[in-house]
Amino acid sequence: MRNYKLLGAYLLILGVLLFILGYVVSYEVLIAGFGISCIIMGSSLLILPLEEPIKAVNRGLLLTLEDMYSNLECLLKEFHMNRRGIYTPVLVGDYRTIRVLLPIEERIPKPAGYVGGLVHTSESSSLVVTPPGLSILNYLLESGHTLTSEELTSTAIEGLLVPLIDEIEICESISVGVAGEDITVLIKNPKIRFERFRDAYPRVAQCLGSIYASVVATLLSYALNTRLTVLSEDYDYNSITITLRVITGE
Amino acid sequence: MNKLTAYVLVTLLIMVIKNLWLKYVGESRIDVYFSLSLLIYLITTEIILPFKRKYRRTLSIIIGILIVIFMIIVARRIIEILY
Repeated sequence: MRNYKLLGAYLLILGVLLFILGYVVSYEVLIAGFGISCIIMGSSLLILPLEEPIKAVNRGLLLTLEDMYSNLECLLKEFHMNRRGIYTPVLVGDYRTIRVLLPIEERIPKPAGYVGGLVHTSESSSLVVTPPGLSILNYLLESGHTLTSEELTSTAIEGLLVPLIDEIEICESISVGVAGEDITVLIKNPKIRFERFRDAYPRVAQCLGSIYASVVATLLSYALNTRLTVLSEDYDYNSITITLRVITGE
Repeated sequence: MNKLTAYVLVTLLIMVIKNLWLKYVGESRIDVYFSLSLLIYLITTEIILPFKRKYRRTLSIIIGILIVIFMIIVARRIIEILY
């Protein structure tokens, strides 16, 4: 679309020059006629509100996503849920995948062969949902990325999150800090901001975290094969700081 | 080739042919060049330009300006004929 704007500016300047040359300097109407044609087309291209098709598609998808969030908000409200969800590796058939366990009671649900929906065990009840970000995880796995790590170090985790920059392009850079059981992920210059979602759907933000937090938690839960929860999120001018906590033991 | 590229190319091509044809037939009035350019522009915009309301709304500004210029040209001609 930028090329059209450049063409428009070029035609407009060329048109003005031709018109002056043809009408004022030499009075050659053919040149002035070309000038008029170029001015009309150039100004049209400059004024047209052209935008990259992908931007329009993104906007549409974002609005659709907002509707999904609205549904999830209603569901969480129905169950009076406001506890933090636990990103948990689960086995579905032979595949290891990730689900979010949303505790209905105070007790932290134990990992089991959950697939989805309401799960009642003798010890706890929880709502099991697919995390936003699972499809990204699946896509990265299908693309051949090796998302496993035995180490809980900042370098190893940064390496795990690199595909989010290279393949998904969610932001410009990611840096990670590890302190004990807490993992702090700094997302710099995210391409799309979702603060509006956090304000409009507070239960979803409280239970699952933002979309970025959910994507990061899903990836890390899978890669580290451990249970994680989103502790906090801080939004800055051009960065988002997500703090995750590894849940160990029962 | 998308519709916008086709629109630009076709409009410019028709305008070039029109200018050369007017020169060939010996037309020397700049008003005629302008009027035919406006006519071609209106036709190609209506037929080829992708139908998006925001495109139409924006282009209506340029079309409005061009029609005002055209009306001034016509008014001048009428005055010349009358007086």
